[in-house]
Amino acid sequence: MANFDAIVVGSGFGGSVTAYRLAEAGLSVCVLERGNSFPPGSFPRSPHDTAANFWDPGHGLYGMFDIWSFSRLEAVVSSGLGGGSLIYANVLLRKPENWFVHESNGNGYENWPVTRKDLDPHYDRVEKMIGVQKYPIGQSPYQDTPKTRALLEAAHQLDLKSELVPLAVTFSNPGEQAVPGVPIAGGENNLHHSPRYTCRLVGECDIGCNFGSKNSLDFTYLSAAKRQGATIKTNSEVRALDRTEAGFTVTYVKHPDLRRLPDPPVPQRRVITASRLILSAGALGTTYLLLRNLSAFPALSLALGHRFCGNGDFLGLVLGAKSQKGGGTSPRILDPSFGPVITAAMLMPDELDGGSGRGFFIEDAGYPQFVNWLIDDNIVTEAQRGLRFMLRRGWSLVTRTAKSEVGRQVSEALSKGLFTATSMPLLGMGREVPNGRLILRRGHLDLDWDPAASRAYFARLNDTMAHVARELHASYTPDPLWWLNLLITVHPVGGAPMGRHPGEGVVNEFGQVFGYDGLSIADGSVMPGPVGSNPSFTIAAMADRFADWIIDDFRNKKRAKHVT
Amino acid sequence: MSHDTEPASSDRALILAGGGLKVAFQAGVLQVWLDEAKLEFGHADGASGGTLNLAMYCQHMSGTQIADNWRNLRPLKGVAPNWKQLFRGLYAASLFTLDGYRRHVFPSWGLDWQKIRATDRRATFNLYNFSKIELSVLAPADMDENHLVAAVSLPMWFPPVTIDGDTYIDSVYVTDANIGEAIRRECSQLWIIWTVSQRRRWHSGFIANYFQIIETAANSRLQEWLNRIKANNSAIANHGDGEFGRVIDVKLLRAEVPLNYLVNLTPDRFAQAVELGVQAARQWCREQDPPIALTPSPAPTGHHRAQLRFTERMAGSVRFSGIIATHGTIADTGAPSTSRREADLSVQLTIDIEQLDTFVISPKHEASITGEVLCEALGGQLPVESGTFNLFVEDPDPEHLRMLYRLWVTDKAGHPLTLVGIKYICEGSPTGMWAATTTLHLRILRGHVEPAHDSQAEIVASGVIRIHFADFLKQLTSFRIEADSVKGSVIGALRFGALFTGKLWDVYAQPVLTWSPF
Repeated sequence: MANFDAIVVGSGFGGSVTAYRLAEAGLSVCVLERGNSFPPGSFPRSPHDTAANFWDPGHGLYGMFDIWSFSRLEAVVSSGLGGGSLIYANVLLRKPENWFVHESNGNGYENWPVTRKDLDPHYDRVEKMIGVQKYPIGQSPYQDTPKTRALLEAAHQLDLKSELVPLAVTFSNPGEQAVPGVPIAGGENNLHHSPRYTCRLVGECDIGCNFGSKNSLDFTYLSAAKRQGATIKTNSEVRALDRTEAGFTVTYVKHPDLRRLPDPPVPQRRVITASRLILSAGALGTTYLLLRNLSAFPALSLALGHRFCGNGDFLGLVLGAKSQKGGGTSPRILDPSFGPVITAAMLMPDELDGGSGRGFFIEDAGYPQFVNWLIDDNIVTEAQRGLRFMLRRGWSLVTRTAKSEVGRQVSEALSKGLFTATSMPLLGMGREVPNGRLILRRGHLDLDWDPAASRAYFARLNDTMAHVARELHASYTPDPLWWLNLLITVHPVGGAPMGRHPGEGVVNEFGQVFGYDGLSIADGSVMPGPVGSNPSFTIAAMADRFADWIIDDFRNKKRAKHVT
Repeated sequence: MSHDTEPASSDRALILAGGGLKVAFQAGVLQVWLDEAKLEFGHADGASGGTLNLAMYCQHMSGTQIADNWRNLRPLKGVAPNWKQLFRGLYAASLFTLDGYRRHVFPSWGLDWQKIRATDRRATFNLYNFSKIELSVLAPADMDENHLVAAVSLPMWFPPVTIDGDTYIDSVYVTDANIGEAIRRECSQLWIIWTVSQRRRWHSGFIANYFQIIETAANSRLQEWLNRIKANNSAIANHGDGEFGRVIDVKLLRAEVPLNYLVNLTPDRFAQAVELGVQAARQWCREQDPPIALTPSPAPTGHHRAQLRFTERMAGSVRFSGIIATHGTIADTGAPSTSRREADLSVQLTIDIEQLDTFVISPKHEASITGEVLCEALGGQLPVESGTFNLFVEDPDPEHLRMLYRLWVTDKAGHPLTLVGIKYICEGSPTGMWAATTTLHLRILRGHVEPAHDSQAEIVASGVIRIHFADFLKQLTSFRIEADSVKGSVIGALRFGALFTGKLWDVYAQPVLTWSPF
C-alpha cells in the first residue's frame, strides 16, 4: 500500500496550491483528482462530445461539468485536473477588506477569524505564481470590446466604482504588446507538454479554453507541483476516508479515461495511506465526503454542513440595448461573445464600507459564439424567414429570373442577429446571508436553506442590474429561474467553515480540523460566509496560508523525531 | 497441590449433593465429567435428590444417559397429589406422594435394581432413620426402590417411608453431602456438585420458608465442613498434623440453577438446567489449573422441529462520541453549544429462530437477525449483513438477565460498523418490566466486532432506542410459527411463551415463587 506524507483530495484552487507548497517543502504528496486531464484542444465542442461532458459516474459520464440539484438551488462545479480553474472566468479579485466581518450579527451571525492583512502576502504569492493581466483595452483589437465599455459606462452613470478586473489570462508575452493568438513563450513547459497561445477573445473561458490562454491551475500550480515530485492521479475519485494510528487511509475508485472507448470495466477500489490528509474537493465535495464518513470521524464539529451559500451568485439579462443619438435610437451593439467572459466589475459598497445594505459586484458575463447562433438562428426563429426564402427561390426558378439575388436573399433568410448582439448577461455576486445547511438525506447530499434571509440582498442586486439595463436603454430580466424561486450558483462556499473553536467551526484559522490531528481542509468549504468577490483567489490564498502552517508543523515534528 | 502428586482415581470422591429437582444440573455436569473428561472416581456419595443420579451412576449409565434422562423428564408424570390425605386438612401426612415417580419416572429412566445392587462402583446413599435417630449410610447392595424413595422423601411434601418398622425421611437436615464419609474412606480429592441456592435472599411465604429451612441446614453443614477442611489444610501447610492427617483438595462446582426445588410443570426447564450444567462444567474444566482436557459429546438432537419468527421496530437517537465544544453557539441555526452530534436512529428487524428446540434449551437462547438500520447521519438505509439475538441470558446470575442484539452493517462510505444493543432485565418494580424489555441501550462500534473484542473497539456513537407501544402491538401480530403440524405450531408457541414469561418470572416474581414453574 503506497504511503505519502500528504494526500490531497481534489486539484482545484485549494488542492493545487497545497500540493505545490507541500511538494516544494519536501513532503511526498499525492493528489487525487476524480476528473480527467484536459490539455488544450481536448475540451468538447461538438454536440456529440458536449452531451457527454457531464459528471455522473453512475451513468457512465466522466465529463467536466458536475451539476448538483437541491430543492431551491442548483450548483455547477467542475470535475477535472485543475478543478474550477478549467471553467472559471479567470477573475482574481481580492476579498474587500471590510468584508472580512468580525462577529457580525446583521441578519445572521458571521465571523471571519482571518483578516485581509493576514491574507495579503498570500494573495501576492498566488498572483505571482498564476500570473495576472488586466484586459488591455487601450490597444487594438481589444479596444473594440463593446461589452466592457458598456459596463464601465453604466457604472460611471450610476456613480459606482468600477475597474478592469485582474484576469488570470495571458494576453501578451512578458515585455511584448498584447496580440491575440500568438504562442506563449515557454508555454509548453506544462504537464500536458502542450503549447499555449494568447487569448483569442472567443468567450469560451467557461467551457474550457482550447488554446491554453487561461493560466489555469494545470499550467501553473499543478505543473510546478509535478516538477517538485508530487504524484498526481487523475480519474481517481475518493470514496472513503479512515483513520489509523499512523495517519489516514484513503480509498478511491479508478474511473475510465474519458477518451477511451465506452466499455467501462468494473471500477476497482484502491487504498493509499498518509500521515496527513488535506481535503480540497470543494464546498460540496468536501462536505459530502465528511458527512458520509462520519463513522470514521464522529467528533467532527456540529458546524459541519453549516454556513453554506452560493456567494450571492445571481444572473441578470440586459436585452436589446440601444443608444440615443441625436433625435433617434439605434441598436447599441454589446457583442457579448467578443473578449474573455469577464473583463470588468462594478462594486456596490456594503454598509461595512459606509454604504447601506449588503454589498455586491456586478460583472459582464460573456459566452461562446455558438450560443448566439442557437438563439438567433434556430428552427423556431428561422421558420418564417426560411419559408420566405424558399418561396423566393422557388419564384426565381419558376420565373427564370436571371438577376441573381441569392446573396441578398440568403442574408435576409438569416436573422440579423441583433437580439444577441445587443444583449448581454450580467453576473452578480456578493454578501448574501450564509444560512444554508448541507445534510445527508437518504444517503445523498441535500440542502436546507431559507432564502428569505437574503431576500433584501437579491432584491437590491436585481434592482441595480435593472438600473444598469436602463442606462443602456435596454430592457431587463433576471435569469428566468428566478421566477421559479430557483437560483443557480457557480460559487458554492461554506459547509465546513472555519471558526475559533469547535462550537463555531469545523476547522481553525489554519484549516486544521478540530479534534483530528493531521486532517485539514483547503477549499471553498472553509469560508464562514460569502467571499463576496469571485472566490477562487481567496480560496487559493487561504490554501497558501494553510500550507505555511502544515509545512511548519511538518518541520517541527521532523525535528522532534530526530531529537528523540 | 503439586502436579506430580495427582491422586489416583481411587482417591477421588464424587459428591452428588441434594437440591431437589435442581439435580438435573448435576446430570449435565456428569455428562462432562464422566463422558467428556473421562474422569473416574474411587467413591461416590449421594444425598436427597443426588441419590437419584447416584443410582443411575451405580447402574453404570453414562453421563450422557443420565443427562438424557433428565432432558426427557415429563415432570407432570411425577406429580401425584396425596388425595387420600386431603380430607385430613392440616393433619395430612403430606401434600404429594412419590407414586408418580415410582410408576412413571423410574421406569422411564430404566432403573434396574439388580444391576445397581450388583455394581462394582463404591458409593454411599444417605437416608435419615427417624426411628433410630441416626443417619443411615447405605451401600448400593443395600438399596432398592423403597430406600431410594425414602432418600428423597422431604417431610410435608412427601410421606415418610417405613422400612422394616423404621421411619425414614430425606437426610437433608442432617447432611446434604456426606463429606465426612468420603474423608473416612481415605479420599483426598472431593468433587462436589452443589445446587442448593446460596442467593441469601429471604422471601416470605410458607413455600419459600420451607425451602429456606432446607437451605439453612444444608448450606451451614457444607460451610462447616469446608471450614474444617481449610483449617486442616493450613495446619498441614504449617507442618502440623491437621484434623484429617492429609491435605484435602475440594473441587466445588456450584451454580444458581433457575429451577424450583419441587414445583415444576414443563420439561423445557429441566432440559435447560441440564444444558446449563453441561456449559458450566465445560467452562469449569477449562478454568482448572491445569485445564482438564475434554472430548466433546455430540449435541443432543431435539425431536420437536419448529421455526419461529417475529419483527421488531425500535426508534430513538444516538450521540456521536467526540470532543466537546466548550463555548459558543451557531447562532442563526440554533444548534446547541456543548455538542456531541445527535442523530435519529431506528431499526426494523426480523428475529428468526430457526431451531426452536436449540433456542429454548441453550443458555444462550440465540436467534439470527435480518432487517435494516435507518440513520441519516450514517447514510440512510443500511441493511443488516449479519445479526445475532440472545434472549434473556444470565449476567451474572439468573435474576439479572439481558437481551443482546448484535448487528453488522456497512455505512454508505463502506466503513463496517457493529451495533451492540443490550436490554437490562433486572429486579425492580413490575412497572419497570415494560421499560426494561422495551429499552435498548445501543453502542455503535467501528468494524465488524465479535463479542470478545468489544472492549477494544472504538465507539462511534451511543444512545437509546425503544419499542414504542404502537410498534409493540404490531410486533405481537408479526409472530409466525412453522412446524410439522398444527399441534407442533401450538406447542412451539407455548414453549416460546413459557420461556419468555418464565424468564420474566425469574426476575420479577421471585416473591411469588422462587423460579418460575414453567
